Amino acid sequence: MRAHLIAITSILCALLIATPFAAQAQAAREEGFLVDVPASAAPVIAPPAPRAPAKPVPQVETVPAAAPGQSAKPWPSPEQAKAPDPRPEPEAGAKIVPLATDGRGPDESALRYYASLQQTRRVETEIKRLQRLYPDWKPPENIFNAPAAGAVDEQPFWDLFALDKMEELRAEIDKRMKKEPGWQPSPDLMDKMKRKESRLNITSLWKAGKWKDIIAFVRGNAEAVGEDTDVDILWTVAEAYAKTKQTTDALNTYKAILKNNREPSQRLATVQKAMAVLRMSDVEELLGMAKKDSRGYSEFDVISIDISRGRISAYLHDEREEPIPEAELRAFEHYAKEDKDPNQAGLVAWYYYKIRTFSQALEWFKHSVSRGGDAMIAHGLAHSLRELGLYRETEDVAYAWREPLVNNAILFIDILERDLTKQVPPYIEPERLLRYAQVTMDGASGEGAQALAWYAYNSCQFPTALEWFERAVAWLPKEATVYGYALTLQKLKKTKEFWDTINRYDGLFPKVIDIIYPDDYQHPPTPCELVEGRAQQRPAQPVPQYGYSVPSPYTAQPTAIAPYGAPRPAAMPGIVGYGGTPAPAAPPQQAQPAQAPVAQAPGAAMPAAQPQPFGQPPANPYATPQPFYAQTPQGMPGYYQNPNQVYRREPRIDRKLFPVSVDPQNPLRFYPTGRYMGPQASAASQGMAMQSPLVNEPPMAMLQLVARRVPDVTRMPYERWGYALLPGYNGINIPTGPHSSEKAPSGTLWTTIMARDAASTRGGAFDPIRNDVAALLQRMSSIPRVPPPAASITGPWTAPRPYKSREQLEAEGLLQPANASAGPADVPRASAPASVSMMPPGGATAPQAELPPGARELPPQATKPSVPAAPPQSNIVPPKARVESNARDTLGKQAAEFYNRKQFAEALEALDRRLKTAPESTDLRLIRAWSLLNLNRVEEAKQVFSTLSSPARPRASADSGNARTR
Amino acid sequence: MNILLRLRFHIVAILLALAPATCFAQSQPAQPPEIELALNARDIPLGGALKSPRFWYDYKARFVSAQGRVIDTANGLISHSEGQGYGMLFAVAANDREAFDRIWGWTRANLMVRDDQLIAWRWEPGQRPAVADMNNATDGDILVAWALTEAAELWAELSYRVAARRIATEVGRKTIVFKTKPGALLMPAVTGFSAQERPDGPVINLSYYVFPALPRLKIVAPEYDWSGLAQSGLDILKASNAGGAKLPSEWMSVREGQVKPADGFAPHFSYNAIRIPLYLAWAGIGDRDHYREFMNWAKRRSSILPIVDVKSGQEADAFREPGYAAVAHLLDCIVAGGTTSADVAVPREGQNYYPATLQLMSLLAIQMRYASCVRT
Repeated sequence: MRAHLIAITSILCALLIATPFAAQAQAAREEGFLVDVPASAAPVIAPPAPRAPAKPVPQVETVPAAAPGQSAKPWPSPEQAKAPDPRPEPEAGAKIVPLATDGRGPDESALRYYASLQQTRRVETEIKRLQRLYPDWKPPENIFNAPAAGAVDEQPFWDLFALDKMEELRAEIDKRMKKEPGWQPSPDLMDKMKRKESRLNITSLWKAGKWKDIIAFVRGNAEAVGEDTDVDILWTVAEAYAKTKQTTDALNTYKAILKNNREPSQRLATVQKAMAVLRMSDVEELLGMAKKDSRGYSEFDVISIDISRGRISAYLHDEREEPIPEAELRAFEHYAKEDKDPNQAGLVAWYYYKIRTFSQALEWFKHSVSRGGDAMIAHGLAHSLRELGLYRETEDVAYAWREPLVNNAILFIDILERDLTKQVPPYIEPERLLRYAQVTMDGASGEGAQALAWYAYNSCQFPTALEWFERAVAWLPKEATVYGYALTLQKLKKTKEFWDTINRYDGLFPKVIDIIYPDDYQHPPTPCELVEGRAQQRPAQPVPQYGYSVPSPYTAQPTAIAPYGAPRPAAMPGIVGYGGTPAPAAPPQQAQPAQAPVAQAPGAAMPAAQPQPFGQPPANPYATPQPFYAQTPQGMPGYYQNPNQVYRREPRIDRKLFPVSVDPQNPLRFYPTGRYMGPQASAASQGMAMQSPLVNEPPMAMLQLVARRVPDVTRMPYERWGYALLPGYNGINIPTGPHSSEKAPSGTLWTTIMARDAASTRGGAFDPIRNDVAALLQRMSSIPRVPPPAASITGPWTAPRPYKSREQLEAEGLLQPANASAGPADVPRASAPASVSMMPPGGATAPQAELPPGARELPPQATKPSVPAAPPQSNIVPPKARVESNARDTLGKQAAEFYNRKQFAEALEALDRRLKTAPESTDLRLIRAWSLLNLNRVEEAKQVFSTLSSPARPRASADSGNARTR
Repeated sequence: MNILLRLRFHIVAILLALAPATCFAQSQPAQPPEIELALNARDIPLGGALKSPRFWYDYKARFVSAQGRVIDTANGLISHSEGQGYGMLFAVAANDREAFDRIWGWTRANLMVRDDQLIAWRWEPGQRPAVADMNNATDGDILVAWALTEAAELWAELSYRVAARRIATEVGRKTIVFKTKPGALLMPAVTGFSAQERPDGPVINLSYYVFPALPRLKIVAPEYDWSGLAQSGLDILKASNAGGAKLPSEWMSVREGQVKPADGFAPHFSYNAIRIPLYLAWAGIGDRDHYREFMNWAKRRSSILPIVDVKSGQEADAFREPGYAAVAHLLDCIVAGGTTSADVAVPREGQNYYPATLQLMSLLAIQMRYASCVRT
């Protein structure tokens, strides 16, 4: 039950998924060093184009202005491009790859080329041009004396260089050096070659994702990476550090770029790259390095939306503690509202969910769904509804989105489980029960099966309860579930299965053993027991059912499942278990009370008359006395006094029934669709299995009749009478419970969330063992006055199979014939957020989903047949009973129709008229009874209930009905 | 929508890669590029991956009861969650849905007796009650969740996916301790191993890190950092070598980030830990440092692999049955480029449950990722 509560926190992690900025890294990897603009973020940044390095080849008057890796399009604005240059000294301590003093230096190759040709005028022009571009740049000295030999005729080499044909270039140079001994390529060419080779190497490593190798290369070739390494290479190196978790180095690399690079677009890109690979807390340091203009605006404001997105994501991941500043959040909300991407609104929604502002979260989830948000967004929507207490709406949303995302199916099961397992079952519309049964079967959900089982059980529908309990015990045999299963078996007098179950879980589930060794407290009878008590006075009468008829797993399913496995061995003669000679094998100290008994009432003492066959009486009635303290095998009971001064005796158990040896294996087995899984088919019918038989285990029987200790299981109820258990598999001989399902090591998500969970709207622990005594005591006022759906007059009502096709359900009017279960791919996008449906397309119960719980309660006279579903909150408003046409029984049909329209007086009138000509069937008598109940004629209703199957004329109601008509 | 989904996985992968740097990773000196291991870590579905159905038929006929119970033949014919998980995995790999349903049906009907989604780990036939311990064993939970995930992928069955998610999320929230020095820690069970319960706690068992399962659990429980868990496992493995011990012991104390053999357990590299190199190879992860000592161990003796006291380095015992050798063959192939004969795919006569299981897992690893390891 608590599962989804906890799951939700972890789900928050999954939302990152929705944040497009994180996609940059991947995109960058696929497409080169592109600066990825967050999807649909307002600012569009032109990516640098490093894949097409400009030729550094000197060409007259067209010296390339951009070095490799330069952005082709300056961004964002001329003002920013002309930002002052507060160039600090490079950080001495930074242990990063040698950096250029600039992202790149001025390209002097053209200058040197002209100088080598002694073209003074062009040299001057070039110096001016470079000074214009780089105000701090000083022309090199002795430029006219410097040219390297041969530099003038290097053009063919530069051509190869420009084409990235490095191997060919090396070969050409070698050839020429051989041809012209003493010839050397120019230092400029050599330097540039080396750098280009480094660059190509790093790029190829980057393409292969070999981050460690990049770092190793950079460390081993500090000079080759060069002083004026292109910014895209630095980005790569920083990414490599980040990918290899050397966060500090990565951050320092980015910082160095920001320190030294003045190109606005590259500075922005640097921050964006960093956001893709670093935590936002690290990126904040880079943001702090922003240049600000005179009005205080940061140069990074153009990507403020991306920054906010990063901060929101960081908050959702617990990487940031401070909430997002109000103004910043508003700005992001404005953007998210307008943006087409549903995940932007989804991010806002999850943020509000995280800060537990669920009403805002709800609105934003709705908005996101209206923009096409996916099943995870719908999941958030459902959880917001749950947190707001709108359980019914939660259920509808989770149901509608159950197929695209299994989380929703699980939430759907869990959210209704809460209501279904209430001791006094609330009214739940038949179509809701049916779809719940369907999802339970589709998902082979033990949680769902036990919920339906309890619902049926608490509505006194024991055969149906049994069918569901069988599945629940097959799929998820928890203590409470096995307990319910055993109770149901007991009710239905399935003695063999009952005692098998008791014996099978002896030593494991104290609650189950409680059934035969009950505690000392008086429990008020359950509603079903009250009714049963009445029924026992008139043995021929069936038990009326309270609550709606629970659909059975399969109407065709045989009620009694024949378990496979060994027949139960008969009780072994000579071995006397509990109640006989207890624990003969146990050493005496095992019998010491392992823990303080639950009820140590002061003053409780053994009455003097109590038989004390051996030694001193124990001071405490619950304390385990001596291991041999017990009745004689003849069943001499040991008296003791309980805190309420109620004398009790140890229950006498037929030793042929308990303890006896049974097959320890749970024989219940159902395929996922709920089909019973019989013994393995014969080899011949299995084809392939001819060659693959399974091990045929001999029938298994318990070797001991005395249970052994199981670690983390509390003491067994019969230990109160002194019976000791055998040591556990690991030698323990004291109870060590309660068992660990409510525990987890500290530091796990479980322990961190438990506290929050306890404070949530869901409240404390869910207890399917129905210990809600208070509710029980109010039973008469809160029994749901809802009849079974038997108000059909064509014959006995049969429970629908839960596994009906949608078409069948629609045909039966149980589901609106919309494409309610279509996947989100078909979602028609709502145009106006005001009319947002929380369903995928045409959700079956969308109209209701918008209503607050109270608004669903229809006035008693709201009888339009088209009103969908009956009000669940009212105790006395019945569901619509489907009436099939039966021309021969007009009055009966009329009565059912009146009844369905909640015109109870009219229904009674019709029944009375009909009664004059024909005997009343049980179905019609139920309608009569419930109509009376709804008219607050309680005593008359009780009478009808108590004579349901009696063909006699029901005097009381008939009289009163006649009185009304006259 | 598809693009979003696709991105989602990439992004998750990237985010996971950004998990906080561990102390181990930080302290690594720069190393020259390593010689490539023949590792394959691609995301490969397990469903239908077994190319030797005969092995599975033989396995079923000897270890799987008609009820769906996987029987540990060398251990009093008991069953445990781990064995049930292996059986389910093999059934998926062999595309044998009938057997899968049977084993899964027995598992949930007999072992899911806790009030949560975890699985009681030990079941003894003939005992009263047969469940011996309410505690779970996290590797069993992971194996079952993994098998259910693969089954849901292979057979598109909602109920498997529901159960896989329920178990995987329970493992994620109840057995992973976050923010310890080595990173996220996988506790061997809910009860008994934490820092609060043992003076040398937390105590872990590295062979419970089912490395090939972790990336697959992302399918059903993407919100948990399974990659981070794998990384912390690798880091602990490396750290376990640092203290002089060449091989990891079965049970290790990682208190305050110091890795050493846990108190009260024999400091052995034994039946548990032999699965560590197998799982690493099956997942296709790790680097040369992670494999070096395993390789040395595998080469110690040609036929029978030793059980090693990791403190003294002495041989304490031996893995006597032939199936264990398949692990050595797998290692030899990945680390040294060796090949093994096709007879790795032949079940050994009269072999017990556990060595047969390890052999079948090694075979699966080879067939899924290292087909060239087998001489043709």
